[in-house]
Amino acid sequence: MKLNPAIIVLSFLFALMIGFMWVIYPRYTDIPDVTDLKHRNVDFVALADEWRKTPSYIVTFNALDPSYEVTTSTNSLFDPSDDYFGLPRDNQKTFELVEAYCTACHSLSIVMQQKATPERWEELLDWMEKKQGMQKLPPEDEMLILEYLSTHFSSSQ
Amino acid sequence: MSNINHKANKTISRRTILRSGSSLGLVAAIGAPIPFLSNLKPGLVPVALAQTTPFDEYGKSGLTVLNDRPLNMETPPHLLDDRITPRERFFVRNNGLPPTVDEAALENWTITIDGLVDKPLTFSIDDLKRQFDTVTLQLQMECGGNGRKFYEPGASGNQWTFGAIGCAEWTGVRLKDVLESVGVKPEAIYTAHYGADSHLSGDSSKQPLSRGMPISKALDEHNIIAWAMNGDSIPALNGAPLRLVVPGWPGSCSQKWLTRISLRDKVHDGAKMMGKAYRVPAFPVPSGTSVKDKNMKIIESMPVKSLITFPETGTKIKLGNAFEIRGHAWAGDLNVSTVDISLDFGATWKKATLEPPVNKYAWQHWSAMLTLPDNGYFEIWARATDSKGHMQPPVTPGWNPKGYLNNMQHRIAVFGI
Repeated sequence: MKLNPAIIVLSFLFALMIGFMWVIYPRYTDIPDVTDLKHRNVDFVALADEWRKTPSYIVTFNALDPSYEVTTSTNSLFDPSDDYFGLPRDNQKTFELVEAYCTACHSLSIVMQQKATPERWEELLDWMEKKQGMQKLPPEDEMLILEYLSTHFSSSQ
Repeated sequence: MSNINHKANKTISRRTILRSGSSLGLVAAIGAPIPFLSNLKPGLVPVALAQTTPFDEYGKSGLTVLNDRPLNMETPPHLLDDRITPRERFFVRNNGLPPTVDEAALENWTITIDGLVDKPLTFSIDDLKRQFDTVTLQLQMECGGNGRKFYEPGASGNQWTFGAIGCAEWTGVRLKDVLESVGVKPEAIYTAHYGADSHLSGDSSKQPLSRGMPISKALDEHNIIAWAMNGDSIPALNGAPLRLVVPGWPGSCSQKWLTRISLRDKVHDGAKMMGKAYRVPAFPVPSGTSVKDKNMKIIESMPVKSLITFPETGTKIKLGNAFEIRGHAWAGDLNVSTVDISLDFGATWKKATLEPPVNKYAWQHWSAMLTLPDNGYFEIWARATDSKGHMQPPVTPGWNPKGYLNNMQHRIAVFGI
């Protein structure tokens, strides 16, 4: 009996495909036995131990997540030991302006915990100039500062 | 010139800024010169700046510092477990720089009542003690922005989570008695409160905060001019030696370091009365809306709210053991009628035991016994309902530009082990 070479090749490819699927797809036996209480308990203890260490910035923003209570530092970037209090460095060196203007009245800690919209930042600067005794910013500084604040301390970042 | 001289020389040049080293930055951040700063080793940070260090020197412990200038600190929920909030656990909200109250200032402290009154008068603390009934009441006080952090898009200001609330036992005289003693004129409709703290800019003509309330609220007999907290002096950061306590309304109505109350025939226009401060949109708006000032209305009563203060979030609990959960609930000008608890993400609710308030405006204590049904991660949700049927929402309520009045349900995590 003479075999058609095409059938041989196709069969070979088919076997190869099945082999691949066997390797890359999970099999039923890969699912751990959840009825094994001993195995389970170890996982649950680890889960509980690890939970507190979850840093806030990798937690998907969820207003109701109870881990918000343990990730207490609201402004994780704020670093008092840094010359510029941990302000993100930018090429235009706007962080220097921000440090200088803002700390004349208040800590950068209040700046660095914000996640305001760009429009709100503009309103805030305006309010500080008009009502809170901040010096009038030169337009070019104001533009840089607004862009910087909206980039780094914004809800859209 | 250094950073600290900005008040004297308002022009900041970039070059000058570059010259000011890290130590001057530190001085600027603290707002006061630090003695022996040169002795400070590199890498060491003054306690006043260390975010995680308890601010023991202020008589506070365990609080989370949100801002170090002006100083703002909140209390983690599990540290609010006491029925009466201890002095060291009471949150701190400052708009400006607190006054230095030394012995002499304490001796000479006075409060003036003027404006639309029959006879303006100035009282010393002793005058108040002699001339009026002394009352002691447990009164809840919450920052209007408590919960601000959870609004999206973000609302500007200190990102309070849950702990800008406390219920202490305050001793003083009724504001009503003091106002009536000087004769409230019929045209007086609003109060204006003044304190001795100073503006961050150093401009002495500016007030960091001066708010008021309608005369009807001012004449409520639960408002007190207080000189004592929990039978002891008021902590410096909480307004010693004299402060207003106006329960149920945003804490900013309760002027600290109180020096003067003036009665007016129109709504007060002091610092943080106007614009968007302590105001919410007069009608609901979609999240992130830029709302015009004229469409903002003044916040009055705070909404119904509750906290789970025990156990601490993240606690591991052995299966099969019944455990107590407990906390407090409050509702602005109203009472709390029920507190419900859920262990299954809000699918089913169980009624907690709720105590009546010790006096009107005291927060109410609730508790319940629970048993975890299985291993793993559980959340306990608490939900209070006030005497008019308003219930805490499971998500943030109406978004507003400054992030006030967030009374969403409090949730904690527990692990069944």
